Amino acid sequence: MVTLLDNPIVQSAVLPFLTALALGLVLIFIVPRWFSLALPASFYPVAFLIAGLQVLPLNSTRKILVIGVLAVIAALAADKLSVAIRRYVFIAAVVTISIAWVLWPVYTSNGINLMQLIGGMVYSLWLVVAIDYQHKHANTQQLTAMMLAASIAVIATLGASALLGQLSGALAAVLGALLLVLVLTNKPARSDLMVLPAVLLSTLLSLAAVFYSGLNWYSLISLGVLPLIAFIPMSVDNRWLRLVIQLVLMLPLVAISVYFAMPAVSDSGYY
Amino acid sequence: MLRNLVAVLFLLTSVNVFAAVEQYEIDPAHTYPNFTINHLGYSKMHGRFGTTSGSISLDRDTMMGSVDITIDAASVDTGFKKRDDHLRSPDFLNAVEYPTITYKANNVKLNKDGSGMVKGKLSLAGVTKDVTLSVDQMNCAIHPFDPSKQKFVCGFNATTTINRSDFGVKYGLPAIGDEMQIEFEVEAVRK
Repeated sequence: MVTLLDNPIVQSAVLPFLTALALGLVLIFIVPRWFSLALPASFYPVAFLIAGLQVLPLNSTRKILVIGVLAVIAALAADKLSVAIRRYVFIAAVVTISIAWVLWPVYTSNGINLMQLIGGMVYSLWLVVAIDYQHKHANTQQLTAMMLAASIAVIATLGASALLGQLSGALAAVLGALLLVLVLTNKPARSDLMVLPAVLLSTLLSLAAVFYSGLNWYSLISLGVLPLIAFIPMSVDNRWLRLVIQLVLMLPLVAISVYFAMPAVSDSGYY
Repeated sequence: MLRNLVAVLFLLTSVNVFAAVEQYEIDPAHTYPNFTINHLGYSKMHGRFGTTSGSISLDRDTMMGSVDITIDAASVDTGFKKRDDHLRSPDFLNAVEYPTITYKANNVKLNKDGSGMVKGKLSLAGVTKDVTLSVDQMNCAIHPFDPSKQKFVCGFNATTTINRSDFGVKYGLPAIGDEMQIEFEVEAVRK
């Protein structure tokens, strides 16, 4: 059992997927309003399995996990803000502070310049807001968040750090399971509630992969286009077919991202 | 008269004590901390750090002193760039966030034959732990190639074994070994 739990595939795919699937099914039938809470409830146990329970020393990966927890609280608080502009100002503040906290050490040690720091903030803010804006299309929103996390899992694993890749992979598995629950049950549920922590975690992991692990920054550019797929007009009523079409449209963007991450993996296979 | 005698004796003793403690600067061209770790149960992998600096204080009469070594974490070299990049990443050394590995010891105790123990603190990836080094033999002498015969060098090999998980470096456990043999091959030049 212990050996099984040590397996990276189990940690970052099988376990989070099955946990989220079970929790999602329970929540969507019993308390659909809190369906999204299956995300942190499924992700964090495996995140601690992958990264360990220690919080100190507070390195960038641990900061990201702490931010994820705080973002859950922030997302619940943002949900109480009825005026959209106030909500987005609040979200922008959360994202900006989070990025600054994670990247500040590398910025102060001249590892990155101010433009890169601001670029990271703009990139994260764009993705959080653009995916949050899709709240009227629950399945598409979930798919976009899942594809973002899955892409980061692939490029981080190939070109930067297995730890960051595994965490992104676990997040993608959770989002995928919740998407499956949404599509299978076709029940109305508050699936958008945890978009802030989900997307913020993904973008923070991607920025950590770039600034702490040497992933090519331009491998993230095409992932910034992922949310735009949702805005392509489609006269397809079947929810499965709609998702498949959107998935197919997203794949080239993922492929571009992986392509740009490839120089860093040209010598892979040393393991 | 007695007071003067005591004062002279005290002065002589003090001069002797202070004169006996010598300061050495680590020679980066001949100091390479290196490590060995089990690779997936197949074999031992070796690596070393290319950039090291620091100082040593040593009283060769009492064979006691202190050590302060700073290693550039990014200088890790296993002879394969991709693996070195991975070792620098947050999976292992996290070299961007923790650019240096340090070993500081105020408790150097050597025997007359140069062997002995060094008890100090190793800081790796932001975690500091007590680590004791075992010194096989310290040799100190005038450098044979120095034409002026002024360059006085001490050198030693010190070894220890740590568990990397104690320092929060847990990637790939248990497949990639937890136990790391570390060897410090040190040469230091007297200032």
